[in-house]
Amino acid sequence: MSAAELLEVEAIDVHLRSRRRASRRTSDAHILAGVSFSVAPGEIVGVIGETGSGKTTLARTVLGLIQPTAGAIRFEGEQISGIGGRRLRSLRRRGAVQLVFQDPLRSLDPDLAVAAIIAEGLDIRGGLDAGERARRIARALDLVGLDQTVAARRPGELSGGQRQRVTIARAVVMEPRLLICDEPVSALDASNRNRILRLLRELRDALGIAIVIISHDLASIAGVVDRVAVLYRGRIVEEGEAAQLFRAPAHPYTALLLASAPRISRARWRFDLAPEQLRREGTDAAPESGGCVFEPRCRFAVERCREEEPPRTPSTAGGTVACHRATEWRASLERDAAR
Amino acid sequence: MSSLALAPRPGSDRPAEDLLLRVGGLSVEVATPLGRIEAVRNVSFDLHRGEAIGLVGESGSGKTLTCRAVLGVLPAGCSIARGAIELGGIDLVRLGRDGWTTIRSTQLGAVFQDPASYLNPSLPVGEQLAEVIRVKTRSGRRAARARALELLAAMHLHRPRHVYQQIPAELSGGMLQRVMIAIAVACDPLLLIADEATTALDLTTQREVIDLLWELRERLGLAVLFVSHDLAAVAELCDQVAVFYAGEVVEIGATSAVISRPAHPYTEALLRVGSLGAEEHAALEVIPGYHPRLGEAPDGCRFAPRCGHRVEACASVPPLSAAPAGVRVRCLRSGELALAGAELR
Repeated sequence: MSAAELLEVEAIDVHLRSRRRASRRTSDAHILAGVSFSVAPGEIVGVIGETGSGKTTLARTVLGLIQPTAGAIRFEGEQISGIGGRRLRSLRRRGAVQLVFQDPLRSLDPDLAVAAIIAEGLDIRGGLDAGERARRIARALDLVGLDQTVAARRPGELSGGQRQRVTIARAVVMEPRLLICDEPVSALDASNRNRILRLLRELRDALGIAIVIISHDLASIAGVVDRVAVLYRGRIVEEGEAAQLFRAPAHPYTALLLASAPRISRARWRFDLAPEQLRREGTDAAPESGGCVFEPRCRFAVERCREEEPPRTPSTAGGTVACHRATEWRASLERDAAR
Repeated sequence: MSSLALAPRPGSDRPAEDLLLRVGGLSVEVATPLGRIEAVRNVSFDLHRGEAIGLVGESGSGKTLTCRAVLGVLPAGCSIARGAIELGGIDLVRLGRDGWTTIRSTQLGAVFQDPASYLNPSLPVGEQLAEVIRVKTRSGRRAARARALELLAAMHLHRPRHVYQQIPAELSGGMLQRVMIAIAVACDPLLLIADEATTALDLTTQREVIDLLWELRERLGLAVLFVSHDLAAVAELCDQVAVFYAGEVVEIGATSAVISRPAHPYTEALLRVGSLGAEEHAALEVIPGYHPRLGEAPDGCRFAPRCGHRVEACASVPPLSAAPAGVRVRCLRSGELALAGAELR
């Protein structure tokens, strides 16, 4: 990682501290383990993970809502994890990192007019006169492609797509350098999804904002991300440049995700493997501690995968991958096919 | 009751012409402060035994209301204004309460988007499944438990005895949806209704559930009414598709025909913006404008304001007319337009 990175997440661990000690069983409740990734200025990075992979915890940790138990997070070269009190408040007030919430209907106050919702962060920061405040609101509406008349309406009067724009306007009004979007499109149909992804790309192009898009659906954000990190059970199992990773995934889990995406026609999604070739049937076992987290679901697992957690190593696709069999699994499939 | 969990139903090899569900001229009205508004207008389709039909469209297009009308569980304020729904020759529109109980215990099963909200959070899922079996098939506790275990295994739930004892919070979304499917098929129904049943699931799980529904179709001869906003998911499972827009069916026919040669500009647009394809996705195409809200659809062709092929004649209501390959389409210009489809698998 270089100093040119905007955000650097370095080997962070997050443990779940159980409040209830009813069971004496000490469970290894690692929500995140050794997670490292970085975001350059103006870059769009996708973080892909299924339910329980730790992707929302990762977002909350970057925002300082959860403290990592190990590792460090730096923003513009300055450490932002493990800080508190005045430094944390001043960082938040500056608003350089903003979160766009998942569910606009539940994250927007139904009784406030859109203008008041958008200006909430500005009002907390303070120091703006009424004219400047109004100008900023108008510009934020403009940036997200909402009509100025929307300012006077309440969330209940807006469509799903418009509400999602309001949540983005509320973030960009703070003039952030980094937007973290948690499942920004999962509730939208295809056309509105593309509309929001386009908007994010335009914001990046116009303002140079870096964006992290967290999603469970790799296929739906494929068109907008520069780089992708695939999270599985709290570990980044593969990371790399998007086009490369979609063409030649190095981790069997990434391949399974790509193969599972529903598709209308083979011609439009150039991925040649079927889920049946990648699934291991009939297991729901939790991974052995110390082994690879994907091992119980991995068709290509060998003894070593149960015993030894694979380190992240350079992948043939130009990124990194954490898999003992990264260079072998595809060849073993081709051998099976030839047989 | 069959001894094997998924023994083929006798007669499931009957010819496909065997009509199971007929929806004819269905209109559903919603009571609003502004009066009654037609949210579903003149929807018709047939579903034969063992077939799967996908109802696809954006939210507010009427696909879910249509499905709920078939299930007899329309939301408060909604009612069937016109039309017929017949399941195995029985008129569901005029069915009384006892009739519905019988139909739901013998012919209809349903699964929805959020399986956890249909289960008791504090009871083991196996007991809940066994109770459904006991009530619907009037069998004893021991037989119901045995049948429940068979069904859990048939849903490819690993270690069914273990799963039987677990409460919903201990299972993943995909496992819960499998339990719900087990409950839905427990009474050997002829028709399974899946209302956005794969929408909220992770990609790998969604695919597994679609594969499971395929298997149930093949092994049980089960017909499926599959509601989804995702045309690609429909294409994975269904042999027929009905495309909904603003309360109407705008195109209906064999999935392969509709996808490879769409007859309606809206279907073409859905294919264009639709899921999939890393490189093609970079274009992030959108359909101009927005789906009209309830009661705000224009007169004439409802898609016209967003349609690039609109002409003056589109101000009049287009009938559902015949297009090639048995497809029916609600577009005046369909015959003269060269619309782009997707290459088939």
